[in-house]
Formats: sequence, structure tokens, C-alpha cells
Amino acid sequence: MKKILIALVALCMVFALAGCASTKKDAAPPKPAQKVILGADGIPQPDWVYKTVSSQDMHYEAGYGKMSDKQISIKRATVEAKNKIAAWVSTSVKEVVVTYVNDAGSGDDRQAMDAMETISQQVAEATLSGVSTSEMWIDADGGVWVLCSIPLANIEKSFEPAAEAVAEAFVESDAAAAANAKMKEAFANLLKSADR
Amino acid sequence: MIGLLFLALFGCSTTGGVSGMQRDESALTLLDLSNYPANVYVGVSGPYSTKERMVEKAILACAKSILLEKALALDNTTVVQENSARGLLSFAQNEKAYYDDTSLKAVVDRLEVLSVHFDAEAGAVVVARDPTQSPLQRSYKASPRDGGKPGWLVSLPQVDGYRFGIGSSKAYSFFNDSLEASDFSAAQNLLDLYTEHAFSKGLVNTREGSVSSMDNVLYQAQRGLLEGFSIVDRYYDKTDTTYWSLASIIEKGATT
Repeated sequence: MKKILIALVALCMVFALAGCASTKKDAAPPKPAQKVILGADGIPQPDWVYKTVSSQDMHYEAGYGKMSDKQISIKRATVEAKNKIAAWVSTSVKEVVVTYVNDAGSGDDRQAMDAMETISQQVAEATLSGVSTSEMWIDADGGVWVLCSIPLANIEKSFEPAAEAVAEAFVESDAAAAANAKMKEAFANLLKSADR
Repeated sequence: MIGLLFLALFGCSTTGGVSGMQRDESALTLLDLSNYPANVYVGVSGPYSTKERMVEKAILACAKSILLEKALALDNTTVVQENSARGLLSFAQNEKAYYDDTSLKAVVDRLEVLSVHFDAEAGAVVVARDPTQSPLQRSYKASPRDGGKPGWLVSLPQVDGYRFGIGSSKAYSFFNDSLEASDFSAAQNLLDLYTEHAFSKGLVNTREGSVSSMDNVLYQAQRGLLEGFSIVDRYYDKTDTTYWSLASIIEKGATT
């Protein structure tokens, strides 16, 4: 009888402890369900689409494009990401405040109309070297997201004249030199036309 | 060159007549070099009036792909205009590619023709070896697909020492033109994805007040020199009559 009593007490303790444990588990606040957005081909949306990515030696920018086909969408997205990198490297803002006053009419009918406008001009201009596309994700609507990166070490380099950077970067072979000369000539013309 | 043509014509095979264009993936299978080492190249002529002319053009195409592999300089410029009220007004691109053809004759002279096929769509397809290059392994070997789309259309292959890009083109009248446009697009895709040098100038004008508006003008120019450029796989999508090319280049600083 004593043994049965001890066994019952032990059983009660086990239930009580188990009950405590489960109570504690139930008391924990429920985790909000994480919404997973699936893109084309069922690939989940990566974090970098909506979060800033940072590291000590690279700068990252995301770009988005949705055009008539995938290839042009990639182009649009990379152009946008590179523009963001250029904006990060060098941006200048000029702002002017303009007021317009128009006092018209006569006597009691005089009416003064005034308006104020702020006109701002933001210029982002930079030469960039070594920009590469680290990631790409296509959303369910066919829009292309790209994550472009540039080594921070290249930011200083990018202020060097472009031609010098080209000369350093390319290992000269006969074919490379000839192709490169044609390219540099064309690029110089393009820059001239861009300045105009 | 004449001797090479004679050798090429001797022992060639034919698939269909030169007339009667049909568009399917069978012509692309003739271009598959996955079972050959990397010093073997393929050239396509497109249809011409004589077999001699087709073989000559295909051999030149072979030599050209060797020169493109050596060095391919690219540049492109983009202009984007947007307005807050009217949305995207323009997205215009001007893309160019340059290669050095001064040694074209020397390359043609040293080519060893391995096979010649004639096809209704492709014209002459010449497979030739460059004996001055080592028979290295290819950067990528396409896995067999049973009528489905290749995996590289979803995600680019990852191979140490190489970079990949994809290009596409709508079908032109001639098969070789479609391939060239698609290959060019793949080269430009490589430039978009791995830009060596770019110049970007963006101008945003914002007007806030009684009438608010925003104008955005963006000019971008970029250029690069691709080394080891090679088309490693192709695909023709019948549903939207589009040719796709997978290209690889040697990553700068990599030893392959």
C-alpha cells in the first residue's frame, strides 16, 4: 500500500512538472507568420530587395526594371542600380525658392494671388569601375531586381581619368590593343557628345 | 584558302536542301561543341547560292569566333527619360562591339577543318580546330534537356574562373543573323552584369508648389574588354520564336 502511494505521488509530480512545462510553452507569444513572396520559377524574394545590404569593403545598390522583355528589364535594372551607386559616390543639389504674386482687379474686387514653388535640381555624376551584379531575382510579374556592388577601393580609383584606368586594367596583347584603341576612340567621341 | 575549301568540301554531309526554310532546334544541334575540347570552333554561313561560298563563309565565321575569344571590346550608352505625370518616356540604348580582324587571314590559314555539314537553315556548318591552342576543357557543358528550357535561363551557371551572361534575339530571316544578334546580346549582358568602367550622370528636377512635378534624365556610358568570350550553349524557344545564347568569359585575374 505504501509502495502504491509512493508511485501515485511520483506520478502526480511527473504530471505536474510536465504540465508546468507545457504551460510555459503555451505562454510564449506566438511568432508572426513570415510572409514569403515567391517570384518567377517559385524562387522566394531575397532580403536585399527591401533591405539595405552593407559590408565594410563593398557598397551595394538594388535596381528594378520591368520592360517589354527579360533582357531589356535586366538592362533597365542594372542602369538604375549603377545610377544609385553614382548618386552615392557624388551628388550635388541646387535648390531655389520662387514666389509668384499676381495682384489684379480694382477697388473691392482686388485679388492677390500668390504661389510659392521650390525647384530643386539634383545631379548625380560619377565614373565607376568594377561594378558587378551580385544577385538577380525576378518577381512574379516578370519585373527584374538586381543587386549591384562596387568595391570601396574602386571609388577612389574612379576619379582617375578613365583612359589611365583602362590602360592599367587591360593586359595588352596585339588583339586587345587594337580592339581597345577602337573602343577608346569611340568612347571619347561619346563623352564629347555627352558634354554637349 | 582554296586548299582548305577543297578539303572542307571533300567528305561533307548534307541535311536537307538549301531551300525550304524551317525553324526548329535541329540546326542548333549541329552547333553543339560540348563533346569537343575548347580549341574546336564552329562556323555557320547561312544560305548562299553555292556550297563553296557557304563553306568559305563558315570558315571565316570560325576564324572570327577565335578572334572574338581573344579580345572583344564593347561599349554602350543609355539614355532614360522619366516624368512623374507621364511615366517612362524613353529608354534608349546604343550598343557597339569591336574586334581585331587584322590577323583573320593567318587564323584561317592555320585552321584544321574537322567536319562540314550542310543544312537548309544554317547553310554550311564547319567545325574546325585551332592547332595553336591547347585542347582545354570547356567552361560549361550543357546538360541534356528533354524538350524543356535549359536551366541557365533561370539562373546563370557558377563555375570558378568564368563569368556567364545570356542573350536573346527574335528570329531574323536568316539563321546566322539570329545567332549573331543573340550572341551580341549575350556579350552586352556580360558588360551589364560586370561593368569595368562606367560613366553615369543623372539629373532630377523637382518642382514643388502649386503644381508639382518631377523629371528624371539619366545618361550612362559603359565599356569593357571581354577576354575568352565563347558561346557555350544555345536554345531556340518555339513559343515566342526567340533564340537564346549562353556566353562565358574568363574572369579577370583567374587562371584557367
